[in-house]
Amino acid sequence: MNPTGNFWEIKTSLNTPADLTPTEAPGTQAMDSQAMNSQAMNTRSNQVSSPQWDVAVIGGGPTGLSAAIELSRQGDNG
Amino acid sequence: MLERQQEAGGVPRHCSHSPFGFREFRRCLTGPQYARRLIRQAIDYGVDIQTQTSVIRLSPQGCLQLSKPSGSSTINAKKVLIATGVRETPRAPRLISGQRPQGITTTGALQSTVLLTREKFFEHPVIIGTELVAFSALLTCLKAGIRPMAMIEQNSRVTAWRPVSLLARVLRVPILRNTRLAAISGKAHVTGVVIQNRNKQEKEISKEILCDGVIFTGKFTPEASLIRSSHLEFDPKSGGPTVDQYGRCSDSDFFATGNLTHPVETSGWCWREAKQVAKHIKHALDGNLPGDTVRIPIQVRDNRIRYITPQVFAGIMPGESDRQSPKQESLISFQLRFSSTVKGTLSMHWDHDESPPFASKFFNTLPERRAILSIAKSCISISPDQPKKGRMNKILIRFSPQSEDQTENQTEARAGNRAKT
Repeated sequence: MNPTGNFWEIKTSLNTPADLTPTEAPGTQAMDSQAMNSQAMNTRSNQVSSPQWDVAVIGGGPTGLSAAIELSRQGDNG
Repeated sequence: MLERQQEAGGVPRHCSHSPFGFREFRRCLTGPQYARRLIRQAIDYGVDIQTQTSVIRLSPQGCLQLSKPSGSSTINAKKVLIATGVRETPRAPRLISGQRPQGITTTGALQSTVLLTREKFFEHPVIIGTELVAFSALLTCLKAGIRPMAMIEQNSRVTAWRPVSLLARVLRVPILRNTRLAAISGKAHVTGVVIQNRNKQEKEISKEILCDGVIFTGKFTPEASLIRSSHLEFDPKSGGPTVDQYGRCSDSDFFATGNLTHPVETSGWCWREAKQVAKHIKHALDGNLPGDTVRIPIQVRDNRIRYITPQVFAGIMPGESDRQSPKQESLISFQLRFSSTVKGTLSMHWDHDESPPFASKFFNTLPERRAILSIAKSCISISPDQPKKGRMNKILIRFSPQSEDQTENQTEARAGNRAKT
């Protein structure tokens, strides 16, 4: 696995066809299970570049929800 | 908002008992009701809640690598708030001997199983610990028709506040103080626990309690795996990221708040704190938050103090804007936890212990209890030339325990006052 944990990059570095599923790629046994969950491993990986977010909140407990609500409220108020 | 589970709401989703929501909604709600209200409010405000989304890497410039069922992706955010919370210490790190029978769990696992699957792990477990969460486990047990045999506390006093501990007495569940869990018996399933306590002659006595389960509660550690594997500075004492008084991490694009920074507080407390940090993030986006060019570390030189947060003070230069409410503008609060029962004075010094303290407070508290030290910001505001002169490079925290003579004098003074009254 490459140090960035990016599966798409592994495939290109191995020069495998772009439509090769992750489980077919050689060297996948060494994949760090903590870095990518099994659900993601069995799905075709895709690198999506998204527009820049203002704020990302990691964690959806009362703390994260409270902060997200307050930030949205402040954003609405300009 | 990025949530790794199927639903947002966090731990309260599984706490089927009250009280939740006093601070937030002025109502007494159960955990699931409270979580639902927060989620509804977030949706009403237009928050984009992305569930089943795990953040697997934090990189500079607000870059987050995500893992979802549909694949992995990368996003960039101007500011990132990390609020991943805490988890209880399970059996293995507590070094309890015995085999690995079924029927050993933590409060979180118990509550999610009872609420989601209605399954019973056991009928008569013992509860280890007497923090607030232990009483949450007790209530969950009773609601599920489980009758705990006892609660076990290794210290001489119950950790939770006294009115809460009365709950166990009302429910006729004995609390065994000065008692330590030594081993768990049973091969396929738990059949009992071996406990050790000290009698009046300070002799250690071992006993066995027959039970069919063990619930480990409390001893919370921050969910900081992301922080440890990232470029952000990690504080080994609190087990979370190093933050300044604005909740800002060592990389100013990242903020952290809630139980990740101080294990552990109630959801209402975290809710209030998160609101404050959200305001700081808004100020940072608008370019109004004071800079972090001067970061003064706060060092603790006493084993009785488990941790203090914030661990860094971002020096406020005179004239630098700090657009907070007037009340908050004048004070800065440090939250700390003690590792043992303490009675004494905590003082803050510049650079070395011998320098006169610029702030101090008397504490008489137990481990895991909230301890707050609020001081005027003016005490630690620094002028631009001070760091250059080599002074005020760090803040030292010192704890002076109260001597027996002082305790006696205090007791006598109190007795005298009572007599006068």
